[in-house]
Amino acid sequence: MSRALRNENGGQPVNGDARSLIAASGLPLQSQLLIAQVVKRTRLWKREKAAITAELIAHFHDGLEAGNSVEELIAAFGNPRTTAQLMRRSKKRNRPLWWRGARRILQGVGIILVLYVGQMVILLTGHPKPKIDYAARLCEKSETIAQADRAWPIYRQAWLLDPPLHIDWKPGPVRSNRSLIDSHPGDPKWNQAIALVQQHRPLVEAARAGGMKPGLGITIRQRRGFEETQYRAIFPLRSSGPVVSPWQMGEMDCPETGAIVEMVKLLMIDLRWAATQNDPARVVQDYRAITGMFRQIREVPTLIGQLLVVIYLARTDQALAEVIVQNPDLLSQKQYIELLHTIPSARDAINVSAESSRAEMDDLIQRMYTDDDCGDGRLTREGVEYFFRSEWTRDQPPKPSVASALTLPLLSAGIASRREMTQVVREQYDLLDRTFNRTLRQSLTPVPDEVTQHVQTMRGSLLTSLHYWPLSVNIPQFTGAGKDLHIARATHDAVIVGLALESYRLANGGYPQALDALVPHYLAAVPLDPLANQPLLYTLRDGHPVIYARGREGVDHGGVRPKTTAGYGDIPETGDWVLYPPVEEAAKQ
Amino acid sequence: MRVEKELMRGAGPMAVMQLLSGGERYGYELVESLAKRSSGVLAMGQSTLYPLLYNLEAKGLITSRVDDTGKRPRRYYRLTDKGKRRLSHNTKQWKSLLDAMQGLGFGPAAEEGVA
Repeated sequence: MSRALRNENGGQPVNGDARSLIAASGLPLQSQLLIAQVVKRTRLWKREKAAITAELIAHFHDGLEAGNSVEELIAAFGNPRTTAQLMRRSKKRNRPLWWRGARRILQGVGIILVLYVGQMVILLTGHPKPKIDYAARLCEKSETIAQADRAWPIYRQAWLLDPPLHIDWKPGPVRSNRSLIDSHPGDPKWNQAIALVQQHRPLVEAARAGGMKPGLGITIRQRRGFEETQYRAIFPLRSSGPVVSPWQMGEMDCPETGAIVEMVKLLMIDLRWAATQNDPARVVQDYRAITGMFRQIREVPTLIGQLLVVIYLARTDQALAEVIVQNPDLLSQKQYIELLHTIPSARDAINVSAESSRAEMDDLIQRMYTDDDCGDGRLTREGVEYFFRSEWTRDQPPKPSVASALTLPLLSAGIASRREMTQVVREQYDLLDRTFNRTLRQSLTPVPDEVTQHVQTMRGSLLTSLHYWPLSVNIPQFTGAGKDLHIARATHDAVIVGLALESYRLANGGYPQALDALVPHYLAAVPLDPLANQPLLYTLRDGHPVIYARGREGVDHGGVRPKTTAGYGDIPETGDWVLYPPVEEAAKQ
Repeated sequence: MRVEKELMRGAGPMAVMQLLSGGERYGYELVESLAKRSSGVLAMGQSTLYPLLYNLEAKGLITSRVDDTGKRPRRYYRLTDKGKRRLSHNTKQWKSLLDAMQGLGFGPAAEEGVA
């Protein structure tokens, strides 16, 4: 008995259980039952129960010895249920600190868990209800093109017959390092480039035929149903399967662009090759087909497609200018006129708008959030699904996963609201459009780049990246695009003037004294110098035409290219910006 | 006369600590003393006393030990140093409160007046 009554606070263990203590107490049965009832209801640890039992037993013995009856003692005892509750509470306060701390933590976790599950249930009831079919809007133009006017069936057939192709395109600054598409006769890669054109003759033929078609005629709906093998053949650069689901961000991605750009590269090589083979008709045909393909790429005006057109059109213009400067008598006057009819329309392709990319982001938002019809909404499980997908161009809509349900409240707390996300998208694309619309002089001014700053705000830390996810990782920057646009336009304008001058020479036996002589028979107007906003300048050097702009300082140096000029797109700090002939050919003269 | 629960909440622990200031006591002894010395006003059963003792023990105001030298083991409670300081502090407060209540007309003189 005494062993059972050791003080647990004093470090003396209390052994034995409450039941055996009561049985051995010798107390009247009623009091034993009462003690047993109270102790049982305390639901305390075994040793705590034993301590209480011993104390109550002693209490009853003391009461009986003092002359009280058992009935009196029971009456004075109080309510057994209340006693058990009070004892339980007070005994628990005596438990060790670690136990009380762990209990508090568990209670806190429990409360958080209940709130989390409650929030999860609320959020799981919300679903996105997209109202605008942005993809259909984007493909509106393609839908209206007549079957006979569509280029895509021609391209597709050729791609299915041809082996996969991806041509190295990165431009090297020196002759020995030039890429395949920029290589000239005599360059180390020239024979390799020619072999490539010969190897992919079906694609070259398809490009020439398709490039003359008014439209591309491929829509998102038409992509559906491609078999994987066919898809891989047509889109060799793509790592993932066909874009077929209306529930994915990559919906507006246009993989056809990649396939067409490969064909453009082949024709760029062929254009130079045709000149060496003294085949002017092929030069004209290749150039016209290339500009036709650029127009087709812009039919579904993705941002990346538009930027690719700007880059490759400038390089095609460079190639054409080099051919003309090298062989001014290669083309007949009729062929020059034919090109002069083609080339101004191609200038329309040197234009970039972020509208499609903006639509893509707006589309993503409407597929991520619910819509309260007031511009706001809650994050949905469908939206969170994007978080767990490494690729967004798989062939099936995201299946609801346990992970998305479990993380929904957490991500909902971390990711911006629909209203905030919409606002951020609007700001970002307004800045981007402003960048695209800056003048060349503005683009050359070293000012803080607002677009980059805005993106950096989103990517400032892991938390902000999460807050603005997925915009923070996917929103485009292209801060240099504004300058590239102006340079491409100026290059293109100089080629137009060059063609007009050669056409004039063939008709009149010599170059004119001033560009005004070309207007209106060869040119509608003399194109403007984008820096000075005045007509481009012209001079003859060693009997060859030189077309130039005034350069950054705005002074006419007589068409002399500074020796430090690096190449295409290099606008010198001092001296003229010579646009025609291209740098390479001028060096030979 | 039994004191209402709300009043006992403050007075009960104070009374128990006051009893323990005279030396260590076991449970039944405390029950008996409270009933006799307060003329039954502060009488409390086990349902109140033992939780009250455990609470005071949890706060470190009292401590206990088991004495098994007698014919029956008993748990004795006594004040700790912290408990003594608290009792001293509370005693001053109680005296201030009683003075204030007397000033308001409570106390023996007032009862005589009513009678």
